Amino acid sequence: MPKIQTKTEKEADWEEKKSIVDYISSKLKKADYYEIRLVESKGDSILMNNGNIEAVGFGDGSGIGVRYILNGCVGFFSTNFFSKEKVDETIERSLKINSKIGELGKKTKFSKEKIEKADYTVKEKKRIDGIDIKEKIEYIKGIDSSLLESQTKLISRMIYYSDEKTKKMYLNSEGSRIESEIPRIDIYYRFAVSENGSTLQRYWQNAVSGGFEKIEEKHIDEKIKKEAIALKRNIIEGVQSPKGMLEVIVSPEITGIMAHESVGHPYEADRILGRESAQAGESFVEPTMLGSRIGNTIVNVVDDPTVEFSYGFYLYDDEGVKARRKYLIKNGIINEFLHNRETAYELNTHSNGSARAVSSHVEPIIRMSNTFVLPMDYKEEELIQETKFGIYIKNFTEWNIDDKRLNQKYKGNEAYLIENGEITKPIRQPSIEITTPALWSSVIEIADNLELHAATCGKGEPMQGIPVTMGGPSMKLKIRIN
Amino acid sequence: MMKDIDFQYVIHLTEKVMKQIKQKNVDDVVLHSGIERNHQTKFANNKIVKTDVSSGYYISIFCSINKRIVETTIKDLKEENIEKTINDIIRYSQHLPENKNFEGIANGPFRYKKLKYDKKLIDAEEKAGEIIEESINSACEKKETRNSGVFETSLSENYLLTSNNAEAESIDTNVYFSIRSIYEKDSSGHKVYGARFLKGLDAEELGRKAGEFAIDSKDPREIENGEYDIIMEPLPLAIIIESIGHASSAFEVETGESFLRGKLGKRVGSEEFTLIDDPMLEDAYDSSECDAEGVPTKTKEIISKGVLKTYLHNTSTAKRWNTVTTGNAGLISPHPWNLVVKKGKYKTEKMIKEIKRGIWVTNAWYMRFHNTLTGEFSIIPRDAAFYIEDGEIKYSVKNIRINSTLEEIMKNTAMVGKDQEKIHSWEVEGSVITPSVLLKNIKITRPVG
Repeated sequence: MPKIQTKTEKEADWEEKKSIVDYISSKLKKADYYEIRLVESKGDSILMNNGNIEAVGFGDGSGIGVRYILNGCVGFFSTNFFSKEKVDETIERSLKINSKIGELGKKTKFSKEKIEKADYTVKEKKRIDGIDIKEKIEYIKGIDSSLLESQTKLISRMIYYSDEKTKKMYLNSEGSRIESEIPRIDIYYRFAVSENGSTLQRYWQNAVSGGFEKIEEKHIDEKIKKEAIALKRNIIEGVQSPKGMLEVIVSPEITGIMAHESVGHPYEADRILGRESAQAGESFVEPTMLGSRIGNTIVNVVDDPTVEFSYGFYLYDDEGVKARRKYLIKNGIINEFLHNRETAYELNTHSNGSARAVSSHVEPIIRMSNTFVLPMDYKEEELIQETKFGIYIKNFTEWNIDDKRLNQKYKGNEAYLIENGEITKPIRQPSIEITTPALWSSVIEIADNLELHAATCGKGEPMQGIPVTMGGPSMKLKIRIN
Repeated sequence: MMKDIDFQYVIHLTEKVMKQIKQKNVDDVVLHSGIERNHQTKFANNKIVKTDVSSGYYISIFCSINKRIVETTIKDLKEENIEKTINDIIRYSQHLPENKNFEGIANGPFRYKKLKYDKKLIDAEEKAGEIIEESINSACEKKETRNSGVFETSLSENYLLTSNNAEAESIDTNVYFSIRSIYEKDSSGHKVYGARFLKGLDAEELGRKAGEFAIDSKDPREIENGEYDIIMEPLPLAIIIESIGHASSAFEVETGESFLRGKLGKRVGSEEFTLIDDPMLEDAYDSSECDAEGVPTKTKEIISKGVLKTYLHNTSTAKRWNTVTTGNAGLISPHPWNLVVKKGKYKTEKMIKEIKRGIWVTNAWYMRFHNTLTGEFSIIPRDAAFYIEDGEIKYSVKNIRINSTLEEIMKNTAMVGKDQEKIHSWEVEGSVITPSVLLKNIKITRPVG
């Protein structure tokens, strides 16, 4: 019989790894500040292409990431070696490089924050590490079967499943100590429908934090089938999109990407202060713009990591600061930026708990969590019924935005004409190309159908793809369609 | 505390894993292992904001059991963990359906032409401050600019062992430098360099050029939507070339998602456009002696004078396509190494003179596809871009978007520059070596409102 590692052995292993944390702490006594993250991740992955299981993967690994400030300069080091000799070697390298920066080094200071002690876990009814790989395969096969039931001509079908349980211990030299365990499940799919020599492609991500029951609640199988049917209809029956100034109703999916790209990103204070200039870019927003109008008074956009079972969920960030809801736009006014302790110090405020690192091997930087437009009272149907002539955009494919977050494009995929308060014909690829202030000033009405859609947000160098959601309800805009 | 680990010990453990896993009646096994040592110094606003060092080790396992594929990476090399992982591989495989597409891995042994590596690169991490300072100083030579970027060095000791008698040991080094220079609110320039040896890095010159772009692009204006000729610098072009390289993987073609499906032997670009995959370049970012199956790598033309010559193959895709591997494994999906756009004979000045109405684009980002099957995409020029009229640069421009297809980019390549640059960047994960090109009649749009 194969030897099964018992829970006690796993715990003993974790405790043994924790002992290296004490050792590193003792080595960094001269630092002005230090923080240590011990991270252990375990998970499965499945790649299915056109119904064929190409490969299954699993992984179980741990590492340690340390950030410190010495003589004002920030040093970071990481390793998955847990021997004293290798840790010593890595610390010595780091201290040596840091000591040679001299006058070129920025003198970094952090805002003063409360010392936190906490231990939290995301509850799972169906534990992801308790479910057999066979069941996970059957689940994605079910999604694929549902797609096939759409009776469309599918020329490519790809589904990628991954889950991961991340156990983390954080401590800093000020006395904060936080332990957490968060399971996450992520399903990404992409397919293409062909008719009459034309193709349309759809890709989307569905992801949660929590047990397997949380991804089942997403009913991906039903959604993917409907999407394929809609694309087929779009190719066969789709008419040219009307152009010019129109009333446009965008679904929660489009609202979400708009909130993420043109509110969340430009409100990241590290971009505003230029730290990400050569990577993800800077921002059109300047510190002095707090309190100035950016959109219609009905627009409220928040970033909230505390939404239970959301993909962007956490309760304490990777600087040990307690997470909370941030109102980025309040009644159309720029209200708050996303901060870590470095930017909070520079802008004379407090961190709002927005620093995250995707693994032990990278530094924490400012990230969004769950960024969404707050809902209002209208029903989506009412927005449609009140529209004499306009369009409804249900989902999108191509999108992008410039590195200051001003010039953006969203190209509709599944989209329809609205005539006399009713959705009529499908339309082909309506394109919104607009600046950020114009976009948020064009919002006429906001519905009540809040949805959060999962995404993996890219930032940092090396690239850190971090779990987030982006969302909101349907919105009616008065904008120009190209 | 755990036993100390060096490269010889990792090799020893890798051989042990192979021995243990072979006892389990498996078919094909590929083991990759190694020790990595990385460094990054990041700067922003003319100051170093972080130094970053890392060290790590791993053993990756790819295993086929009755055409059931299981992959994992061991990052904790305790004896009991290795044993548990091997048992888990067998357990996982018992629950999998057959991978109908899998046709096995290459049969060794092989002989490899060795690539040199930069033995002095490790010392360079301590010189990061000096190198960055030189670059910032030259970016500020003409006017005061605000500069940000990174300097990275890495060394990895790698070992490959397969159940089909391939065995390879190598050392790879990498250097990467990036500097973005900002002059006024809307004027900036960006230059990068990625290679295997430090000696080719001229951080001063990169800083100088980024600074010049920043200063020259001040007071940008808006332009009208329409078709323009575009001179694309190596940095933005590399993003598009990497997408073309990705689409040339036989696996991508088989999935149905590549715009190159059904186009083997057909014209996909102009006579001027030749794309080569060259893994054995002495001083390039993604050079490699062997692929993921241990097959020696080789140079090949993917697109020759506009005609698609080959897809990229591993052993499994090659068998399905009734051909031989091109040495581009990816154990599931083949991939390119160093993508090289064959240089032409023109200087940028000559291309500018040829343009009646056009734009010189020096950087771009956020390339997104509307449809990978048709290759339709848009990408946003970033940093300095200049409007050209009747062969002369008139002024800098902002807020523009390029809308095209991958095939249109290749087919509309009218002139190819003579000076290649080695690009690895925030947007280009791999390695692209390319000169500038002149593209005819590309659709440009801008936001309204």
